[in-house]
Amino acid sequence: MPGFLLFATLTGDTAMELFLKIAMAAVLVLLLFRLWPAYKQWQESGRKAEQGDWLAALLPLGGVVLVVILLIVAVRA
Amino acid sequence: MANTDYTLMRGAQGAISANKVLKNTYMLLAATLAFSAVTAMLSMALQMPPMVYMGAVIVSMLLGIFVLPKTANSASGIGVIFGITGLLGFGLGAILNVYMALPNGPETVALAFGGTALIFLGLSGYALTAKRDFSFMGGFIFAGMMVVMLAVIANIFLAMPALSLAISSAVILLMSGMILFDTSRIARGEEDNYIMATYSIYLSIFNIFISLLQILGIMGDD
Repeated sequence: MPGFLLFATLTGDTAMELFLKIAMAAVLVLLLFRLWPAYKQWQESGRKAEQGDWLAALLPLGGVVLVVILLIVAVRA
Repeated sequence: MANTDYTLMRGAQGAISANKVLKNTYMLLAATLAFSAVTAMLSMALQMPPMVYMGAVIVSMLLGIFVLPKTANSASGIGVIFGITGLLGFGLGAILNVYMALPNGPETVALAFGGTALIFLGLSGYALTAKRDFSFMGGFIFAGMMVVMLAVIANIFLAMPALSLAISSAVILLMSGMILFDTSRIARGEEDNYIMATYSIYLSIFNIFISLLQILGIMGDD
């Protein structure tokens, strides 16, 4: 999953770091190939949104954005 | 009348089954999160280098792709998921050591931890009480995950802070959507394997925590 890979530049040893980066990129590409059929299946036969569905989903996501903003304000205070 | 009774009984049995999966999922999630915390503390105590994080993530991803789906319907799946979450916790400990060494590090870690807990509990509570079917988000979430993964592959080699920030923000939103999606599927009985359900929700929580650490670290000038 993507979030794992945000610290890919923290290692110090160059050769080992390069090897791990290539290995991680390879595993991610593998994961992409595994995700593709799931994406196609959900896109083709998944339930389509009805009226009010997206609003019901965007409301809590908006709350998440607010929480993140508050956390940023807290860390900069 | 007999048909109505049969339909009502099937509906009731479905609800009982869904509640059982939900209960087992949350119990296993609590256990795996606790186990991750223990392995993270062990990793921090052993002062593991940041490289351990990358190695742990690679191995756990391979286990999640190749081993867990095959063992999810048997008792060995429990061992595999504890192995995966323990590995991820161990790798996380190495990253937390880097943050704890920074001037505002402990505060950043505490805020990321609190924020993750608040986001997860809020979204889960909302998904369970709203009783809405969030499965319509499936295509959008999987498409978003693939786009973000391509960005991450590029950023592994480019190492651009602005791109890291954009990826972290996208990951938080996608994983939040994933929590809504997964929780509603479990509550509606559409996911009946509590091991796979736990794995998906655990990854959402883990990714939100890591992304919050990244955002707060950058925004806090660390």
